[in-house]
Amino acid sequence: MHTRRHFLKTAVSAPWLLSLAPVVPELLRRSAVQAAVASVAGNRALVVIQLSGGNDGLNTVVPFEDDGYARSRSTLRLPARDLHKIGGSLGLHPRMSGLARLFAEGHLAILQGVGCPGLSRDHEVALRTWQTGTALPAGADTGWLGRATDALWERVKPATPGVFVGSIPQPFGIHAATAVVPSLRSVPDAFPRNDLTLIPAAPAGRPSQTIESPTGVSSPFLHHVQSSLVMARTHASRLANELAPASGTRSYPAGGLGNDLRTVAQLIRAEMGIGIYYTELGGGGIGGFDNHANQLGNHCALLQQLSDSVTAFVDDLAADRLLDQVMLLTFSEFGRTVTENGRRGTDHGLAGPMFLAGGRVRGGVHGAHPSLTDLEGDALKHHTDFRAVYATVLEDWLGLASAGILGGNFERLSNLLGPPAGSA
Amino acid sequence: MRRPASPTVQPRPPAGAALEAVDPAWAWAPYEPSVERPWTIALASHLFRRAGFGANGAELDRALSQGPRGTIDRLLDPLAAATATDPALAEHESAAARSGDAQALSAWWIRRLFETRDPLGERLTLFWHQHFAIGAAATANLALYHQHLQRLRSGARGRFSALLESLLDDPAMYIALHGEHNRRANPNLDFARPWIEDFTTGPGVAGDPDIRDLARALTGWFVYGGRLRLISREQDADPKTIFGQSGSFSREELARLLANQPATADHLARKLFRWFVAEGTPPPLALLSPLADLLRHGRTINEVTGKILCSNLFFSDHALHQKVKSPVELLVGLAKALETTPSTLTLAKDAAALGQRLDEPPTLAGWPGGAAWINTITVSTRLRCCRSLIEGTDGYTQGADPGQVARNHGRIRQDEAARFWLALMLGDDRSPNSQAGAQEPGANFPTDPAAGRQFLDVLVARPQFQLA
Repeated sequence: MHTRRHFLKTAVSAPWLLSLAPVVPELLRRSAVQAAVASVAGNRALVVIQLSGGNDGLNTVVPFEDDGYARSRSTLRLPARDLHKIGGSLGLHPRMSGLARLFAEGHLAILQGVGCPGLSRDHEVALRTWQTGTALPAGADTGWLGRATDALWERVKPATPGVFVGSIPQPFGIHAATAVVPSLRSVPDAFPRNDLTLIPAAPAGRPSQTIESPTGVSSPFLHHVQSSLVMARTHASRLANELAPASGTRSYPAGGLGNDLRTVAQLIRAEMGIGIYYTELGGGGIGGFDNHANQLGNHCALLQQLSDSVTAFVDDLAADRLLDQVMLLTFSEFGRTVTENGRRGTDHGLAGPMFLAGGRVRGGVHGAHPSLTDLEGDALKHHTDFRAVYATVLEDWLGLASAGILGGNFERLSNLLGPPAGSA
Repeated sequence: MRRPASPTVQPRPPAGAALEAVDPAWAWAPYEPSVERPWTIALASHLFRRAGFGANGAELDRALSQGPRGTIDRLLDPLAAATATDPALAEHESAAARSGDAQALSAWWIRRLFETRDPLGERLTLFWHQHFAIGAAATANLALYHQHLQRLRSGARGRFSALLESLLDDPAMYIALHGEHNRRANPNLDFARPWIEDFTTGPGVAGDPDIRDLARALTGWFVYGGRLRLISREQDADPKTIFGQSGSFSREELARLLANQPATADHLARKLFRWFVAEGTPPPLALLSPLADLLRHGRTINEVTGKILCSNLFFSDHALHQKVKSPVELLVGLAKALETTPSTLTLAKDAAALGQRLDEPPTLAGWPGGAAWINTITVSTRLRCCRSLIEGTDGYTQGADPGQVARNHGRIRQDEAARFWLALMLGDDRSPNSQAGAQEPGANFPTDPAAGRQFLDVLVARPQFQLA
C-alpha cells in the first residue's frame, strides 16, 4: 500500500485536513492500550475444538486389554503393540504420538465417559445438545459458548470476546444474543490490509481535543468507537509483526485444523483479550468423524490431524510461555457403537472421551473407561455429564457464573485444574 | 400525517441535560428552525440516517432547501409509498424465495433499501422485522418467509392491532415459533409466550394463566402445505381468561386484546424511541408516555413516527449521534452517497460478516444494536468493507469517483467538493477553511478519482462515521 502511505503523509501535512479530524486524545489512547493488555492479564483463553460427526472414542483412547474390545472390533481393532500406552491398560491411537507426548509431559487430561442423560443419536439433535448445553436444544436460541461470549463482552468491551476460526459456517455453539462473533479464516480477515494505519491518532505537538461529534454533541457511542479503533490499531500492529516473515514461523501441520490453531496462537500472542476461540475438525454438515463404513483410514487421518495440530499449538504457546493462559477442549456429539457394523464401520453411539490441554490442566486420565459390557443399545454409557465439564471450565477457568449460562447448577469437577505448570 | 399541535413551550436546547430532566412537552413539540437551532446539513443528514438509509447529494440539497417539515411530510406520505418499488425487483425477490435461495433474497432486500422511493416504509419494515424477529432457517420455507416479510411491509405504517392480526394469521410465525401443531390436549405455552412477552406487553406483565389460556385460544390452527388450517377437533372451544377478560377469542379478538393492553403501548413506545431516537440509557416513562398515549388511542404507526421525527427531541443533542449504524445502514448509506451500484450479494455477505444477516436475526429479541455492533474486529472489518465499496474491490466491481459525484451536484472547486463530501459522509457542514490552518486544500481529488477515493478512505475511518 505504498500509495496510501504516501497519501497519508501528504494528508497529514495539509493542516486543514488534519484539523478536521477530532483526533483521539492521547490520554484515551494510552488507557485503551492499557485496557487491551490488562484484559488479557485478567483473562484466560478457552479454545474449543468441535469434532464433527461423532468420534469413535473407543478407537481413540483404547482399552486394549479389555476382552470386549477385541471381540467387538474384528477389523477395526488396533493392535496393542502400535498404541501409545498411557497406563491403566489404556493406549492412545497409533497416530496420536503428539498427544501421547503431551500426556507424558502432564499437559493433557483425558476425561472418560462423558455424555448426558437421554442423548440423541441423531447428529443434528446431539450436536445441538452439546452446543447449547441444554437437554432441550430445540428451545435454546443461543449456544453455551455464545452465552459465555455475551458474558465476557460485558467484561472486555470493546475487545472482541469470542471468535470462530475456520471456513465452515459458524457453529451454533458460539451463537450469541448480544456479542458479534467474527468468523475468521486467518489473521488478515480480522485486520485486513493493515488499513488501520489510517485511523486518526493524535499527532505529536498538537493539543488533545475533547471527544465530540462535528456538531459538538458528546455521545457515549463515540467514545466506544474511538476506544475500539485505538485498540484495534494496537492489535493490528502487533499482528503485523506476527505475520512479518522475519518473525520466524513455527511449524504446524498443513491443512484445516493446523492452520486454524496457528491463527488462534497468533491472535493469542497479539493479546487482544479474546476469551473464547471456537474451531472445528471434520468439516461442516454431518462431519468427517461419521464413519459408517471403512472407518479405519479416515479415522487415522483425522486423529493424526487432531494430534499433530494440537501438539504444534501447545508447543508454540509453551515456547512463548503462554500455555498457562490457555485451555483447549475437544468434544464430539456422540461416541460410536462398540460393535462393528459389518461394513468396517461403526454406528452412532453415546458417551465418549474429551481431551483437555493447557498449562493449568491437571494431566492424566480422569474417570474410569466406561464398561464394554454394561451398554445401552451397543453404546458406552456416560458417567460424567458434559455440563459438569462446562461448569468447571466456565467457573474455574473463565470466572463466569455457570448457572445462568447452563440453566442450572452442575457440580464442578474438583481435580481438573492444577497450579500453573510454570510453562515448559 | 396529523400535524402536531403548535408548541406551547419555546424550543430550547437542553444544554447537556440528562434525558430524565427533559420536559416531555418540549420534547415532543415540533422542531422549528431558529437562530439558535438552524436547519443544517447536520440535522438533515441525521433525519435521513434515522428515517431512511442515508442520503445522496441531491436528497440532502433538496432537504436543505425544503426545510424539515416538507422533508418529513414527503417521508411520511403513504401515497408515494404505494408506488415505492419497481415491480421487477419484487419479482426477483419472489423468484429467489421460490428457489429457496436465502442469500439471494437478502441481496434483493438490500437492493430494495437502495432503490425504494419509500425509505421510511422500509425503515419501519426493518423495525417490525426486529420486533417479530423470526429467521428464515427456523421457518424452513423461504417462500413463506418472503410472504411474512411482505406482511410486515404492508402493515408497517398502519395500526399495530392490524399488523398483529395479520401475523396471527401468518404460517411463518407458527412454524418459526414451533406452534404449527398446537393441540387441544397439550397447549403449547412456548408458542404462546412470545406473543405476549416479546411482541406485545413485554415481559413481567402476564401471569402463567394468561399465557396458558392464550396457548389454548390458539389451539387447532395447524400448518399444512404452507397454509394455516383450522382443525376443529384440536381446537379448545372452552372459555378462556386472558388479562382479566373472558371469552372464546377468535384470532381477531386476540389481536385486539393484546394490542390494547396498556403495557403494549409502553413497550412499543420504548422500542420506537430506541429505533428512531437514541440507543443509550432508556428514557424515563414520563418522556415515553406521550408516544404511548398516541398508540393507546389507536393512532397509526405512521402518525407516531411522524410525531417522533418532527419533534424537538429528535433534532436535539439527545438524539444526534446517540445510535450506532447497523452494518446494513453503514454499507447501504455509504453506497447511496457514492452513487455506485454495488453487488448487493457482496454487500449482504459483508453485512453478515459484521453481524447482520438480514434473514437471520440472532434471537427473537432481534439485533441488540448500540455498542454491541462494534468490537475491535468488527470495527476494522467495517473499515475494510467501506474501503472495498469506495475502491470497487473485494467483490465490489465499481469504484467511486467522488470528484465526478461532487461535480454532478455543482461542486466544482476543490474546497466545494471537500465540503460536499464532509457533509455527505459526516454531516459536517463546517468550512475546512474556517477551521485551524486557513490553507487551500492540497489534494487533487476533484479531478483524480484515485485521490478522491483516498480522501474518502480517510473520512470513513473517522469514529463518527460509525454513528447513526
